[in-house]
Amino acid sequence: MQRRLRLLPMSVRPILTVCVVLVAWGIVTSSGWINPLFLPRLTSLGRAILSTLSSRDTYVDIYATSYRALGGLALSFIFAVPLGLLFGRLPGLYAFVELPVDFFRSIPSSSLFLLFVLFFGLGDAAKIAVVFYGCSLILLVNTVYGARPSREKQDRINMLRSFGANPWQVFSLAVLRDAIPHISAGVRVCVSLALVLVIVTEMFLSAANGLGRRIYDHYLAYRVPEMYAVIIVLGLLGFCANRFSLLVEQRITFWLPRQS
Amino acid sequence: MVEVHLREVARTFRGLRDVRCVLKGINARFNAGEVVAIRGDNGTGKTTLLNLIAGIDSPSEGEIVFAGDVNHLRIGFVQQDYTSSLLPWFDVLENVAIPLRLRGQGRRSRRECAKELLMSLGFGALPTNGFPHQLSGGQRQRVAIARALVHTPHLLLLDEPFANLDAHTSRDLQGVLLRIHESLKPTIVYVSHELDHCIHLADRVLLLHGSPARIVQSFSVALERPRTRDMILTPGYTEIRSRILKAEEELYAAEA
Repeated sequence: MQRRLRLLPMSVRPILTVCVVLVAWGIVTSSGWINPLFLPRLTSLGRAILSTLSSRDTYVDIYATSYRALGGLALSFIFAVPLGLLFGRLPGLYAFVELPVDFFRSIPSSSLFLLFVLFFGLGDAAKIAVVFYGCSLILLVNTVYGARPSREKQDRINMLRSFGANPWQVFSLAVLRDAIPHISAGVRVCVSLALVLVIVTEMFLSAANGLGRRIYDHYLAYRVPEMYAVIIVLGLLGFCANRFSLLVEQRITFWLPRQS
Repeated sequence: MVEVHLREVARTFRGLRDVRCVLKGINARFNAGEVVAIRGDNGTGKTTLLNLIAGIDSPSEGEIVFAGDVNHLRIGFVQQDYTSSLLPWFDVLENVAIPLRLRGQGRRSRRECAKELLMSLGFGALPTNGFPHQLSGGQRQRVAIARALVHTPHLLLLDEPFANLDAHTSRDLQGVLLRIHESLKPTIVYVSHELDHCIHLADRVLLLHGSPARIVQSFSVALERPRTRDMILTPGYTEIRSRILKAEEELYAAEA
């Protein structure tokens, strides 16, 4: 089995899986085993995808969803990374906030939707605030771990100090770079989380546009193929965002040994 | 040329529950261009002493005074754990050139200096664009030694630089250090467990002993320079070696 699998090029394998899923979908829907209301036929799904992709509204929705997700993510990065570096280097200071941070991390962001609406109203601000809240704590904790002193990190800092490095040089050449792998791993987790949170807020916090809103509208109108089409567009958006953040992570942590 | 004077140096570490005095009453003078080896058991405070001289740490009592060309004092330090002291995000040339980078030298010029130094040290086989994780232990140690020398230091501090290296690599690097000392004449303070390495390289061997540790004895190594491997067979070498070993045995016997 292993030997036969080895004959199949790696690049072909995911395409083969997609083909198998599509064939299975086709068999299940054409045989009538599942109600087309739950799972549309491939032909109607194809038509819905084409009309979704050719509609200008789809791109407005993609823009709105991306803007909210990236806005919240950027704000959380600006807030959490410097703070995490500070707390990481000063564990005594972090001891003051560790318990509250752990407590707030345990509260699912979705349970605070209404609280954010109360503070920021029904506009984009509440949606961005939800993303900011959810991502900030993850980024903060990751950055703290990345900047936390260790024997190895201290050796690097000592080396720089023995050569006469000033505090800024120690920070930029050792502390910050040591934290980068943890920060970029946090960002990658947050990219997916931001998208999830924005979609859910768009569904339930009366958004005028956005992919979450569009899915909900199609659901209310029983336009099931269109709903699937938007979900697939959303999947593609998430997939591209994930691949992009992975690429960026690999570029900025170029020194880390990787498995081929 | 730089001289180092240690006057009544002490270092105490204060933890939450205990206070640990590692070094006490350290008095020593390292003359300009002299090679001094410091020998002592694990945990006696040899690394702490080097950290104090390097300025990474400060003495709890006493003072360390530098005399000579101290306005532009350049220190080269090869740490005990050379693997973690290399910056993993820089390639070999950039790691070697760190002291030059810290002094504001431009990228191209510092990389050129680093490359020239590697060639002159006989480290030309190092993969200059490789990263630390791609190097062997011996190669990493060569990078750490080259880095300590790239800015032609007045004072070279070596903390067990040949630990964890095979005998051949260790011998090679000792030869490199002797060549550097012959040509640049930096003051070298060298910490090692290996008595043969100490005698081979140093003008003086200091014994660090006790808790808190003190310099209990100093031995002058009256072997001519340039030093060669063959000296290990000379009566002078054997004599100084047995004197140091005897002194250490007496110390342990007194302690027991």
